[in-house]
Amino acid sequence: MTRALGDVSVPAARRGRIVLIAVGALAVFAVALIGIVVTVLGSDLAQTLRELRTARSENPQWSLSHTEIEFLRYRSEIDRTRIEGADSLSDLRQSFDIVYSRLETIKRGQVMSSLRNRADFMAHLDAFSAFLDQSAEIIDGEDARLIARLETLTQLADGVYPDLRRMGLITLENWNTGSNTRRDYLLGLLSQLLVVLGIGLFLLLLALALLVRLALDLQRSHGDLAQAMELAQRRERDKARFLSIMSHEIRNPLNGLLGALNLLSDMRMSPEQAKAVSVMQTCGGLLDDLVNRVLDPDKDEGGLTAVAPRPVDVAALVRAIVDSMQASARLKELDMRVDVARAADHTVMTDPVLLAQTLENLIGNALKFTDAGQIDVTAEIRGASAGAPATPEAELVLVVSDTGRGIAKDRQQQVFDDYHSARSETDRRPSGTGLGLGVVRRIAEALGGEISVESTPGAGSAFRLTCPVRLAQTPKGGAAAPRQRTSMTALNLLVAEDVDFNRMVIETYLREDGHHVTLVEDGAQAVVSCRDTAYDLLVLDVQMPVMDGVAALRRIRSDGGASSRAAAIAITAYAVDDEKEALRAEGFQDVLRKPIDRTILRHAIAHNTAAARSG
Amino acid sequence: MFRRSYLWESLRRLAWGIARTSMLTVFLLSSPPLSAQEPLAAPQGPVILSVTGDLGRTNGAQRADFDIDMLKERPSAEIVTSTPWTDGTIAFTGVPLADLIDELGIDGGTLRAIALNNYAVEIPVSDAGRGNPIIAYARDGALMSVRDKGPLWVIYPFDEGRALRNEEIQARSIWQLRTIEVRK
Repeated sequence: MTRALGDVSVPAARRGRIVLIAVGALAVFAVALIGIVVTVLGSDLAQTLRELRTARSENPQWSLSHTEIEFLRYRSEIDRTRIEGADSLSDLRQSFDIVYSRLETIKRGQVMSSLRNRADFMAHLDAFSAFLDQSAEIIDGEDARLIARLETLTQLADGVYPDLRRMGLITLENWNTGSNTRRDYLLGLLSQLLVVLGIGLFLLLLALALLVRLALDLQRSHGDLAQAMELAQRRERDKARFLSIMSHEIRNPLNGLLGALNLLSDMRMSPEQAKAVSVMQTCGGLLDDLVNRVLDPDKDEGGLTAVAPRPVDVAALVRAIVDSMQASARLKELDMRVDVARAADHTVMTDPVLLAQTLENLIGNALKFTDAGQIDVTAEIRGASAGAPATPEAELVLVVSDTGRGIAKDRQQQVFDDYHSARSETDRRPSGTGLGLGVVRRIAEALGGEISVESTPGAGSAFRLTCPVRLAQTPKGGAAAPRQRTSMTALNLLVAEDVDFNRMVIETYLREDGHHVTLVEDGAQAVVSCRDTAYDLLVLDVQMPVMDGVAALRRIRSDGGASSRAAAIAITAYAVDDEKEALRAEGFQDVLRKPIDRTILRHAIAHNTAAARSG
Repeated sequence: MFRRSYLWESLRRLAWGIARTSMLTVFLLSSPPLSAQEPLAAPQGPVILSVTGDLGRTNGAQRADFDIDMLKERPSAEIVTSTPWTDGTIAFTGVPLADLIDELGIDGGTLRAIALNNYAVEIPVSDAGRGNPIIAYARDGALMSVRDKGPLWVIYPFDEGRALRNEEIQARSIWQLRTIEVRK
């Protein structure tokens, strides 16, 4: 699943990032390009346009043609003066002055600057300038002298006219070339602008295309992810359903078996029979434990550490476990002995499942590595004086010693590592998963204690579990005797359980405690029964046909019948913490796990009916 | 660029309009009868500028003639600038065109400025003050001959900005100015 997700998401994400960076770079580049074009070429263009605009207003061509017009007027004034004589002299002089006033502009004015680097133009201009100087000498002289030299003025003017004409033509030609150059420059600028803008536009389009592609990619990988997620969820649902079925199908017969054994153990039997029943009980318990470990996902993943302390008779527990494993010891002709004398006086608060698991692992380990000799199991509760528990704090010590092959000094700590296995190459006998001692270490830590080993290779090993415990409030012998009739009030109880033998076990427990018990086989029957009968407490199996325990309780509570306010205990084969919480939220006061333990059931009933009455 | 210069131009026009209006107002409120009745002095020397048409003040039949001294007597302004027709920077001295328009009581219509060679250009009175031109009679402190494009040359402060370097303004910058006809 992880692989499938990886194939889809990681490269897509990386590609997406790369594309995004590329798009950003492209867009920035395009914008920068357009910006440069607008600022550089644009201002150049504006400048050129401005020049075109202002240049038109006062151009050399215009200047020259006006000079020519004024020259011709002067020329005609000379002829007029010849006819009219002195009367028109002032007009002649003024017309000359006007022509003369043009010289400065042609020679030095900004307007004509482009022509002044043409040698031919300058040659004609020199001739024009000389004509003006020569004529001015006559014009500025006495009136009589001026009239006398009108012919000279005429010759001078006619002599220079071709130069003036030529200057005009050069100006025209120059202007045309100039405007061509300007036009070409402008065209060049515009086409450059166009090209660069085109490139910018192309880049932007490219960026857009990449963005669209990125979006499509993201959409697709999103779809793949969603598909993978759906698949994962479906598999998870399948797994949960499988576990639920397994839980129900395996646990129910097992619970029936264990319940029946419990009943049997309370009957009068020969010592041999009792021993056989005891072994069956312990083995059944181990099987139950195994099933739980496989089916309970919380414990499956190394989460053995959830500690649930309750009052435990350590001596009885140890003796039972040792008894259950005597068969294996006898097979190997080992002498397994148990000494619980120094633990016999107290009940302590601890987790019996974890404790049993530790002991089984340690004894299993000893059995595995011991070929001859004996195994000693001792349990001791230290720090508590016999009788009244003056100090609630005590220490529980379990020691399992064997006469096996032992462990080399340098490997003594490694044996507690997870997945460590002490098997040698030649040892082909089946063994644990390699998790055994690692589990023991983790349990010891969870209980707040520690595990240690003393060993001499060839002579044997001694594993020691030490953990702090609190003494239970009731000294041993108070509440735990199985057959003892309690002083509890006889209660009116309803039990709804679909599996026959479970129903039988629960019924037997409750009747032996003196209660009045009504049995039904499903939730619907429970609902009907609760309408008219006021029960003190309801024991409802969660998984039942027709109507399950949860639905039944909901109906009973809402019906407002005689038992609508009765306390309710759920019994379930598959009780992870989440489910327990869920069931409590549904209105159950307590949740018990199968197989039902007589003591726990008794406490639960006593607690909840007492609470109901006082409440 | 263009936009800015247009803005600048409009602002100037507005400022000019306000200034002119307020000046006219002052003129009309404070001493219109006196000004209107007081005749313009007659020219003593050769006439170099004639303003004709519907004038508030005259010294002839529907005309105001000026000799060089009459112009030099009036408050003058100086413009230091280059021109398209000359080389380098020149200091021109002359009478602001706007002052002349106000003094002669010209309050509308068009000015037709005519040169010695009969070159002519028309300027609306409302726009005549734009660019603050002067009727220059001196160039770098010396009076101008006809050969220097004198004796009168309408000069704008071309170097002040691009707004003045265009065809319209250059056309109005008439040299060898002789006559201004006021037309309604």
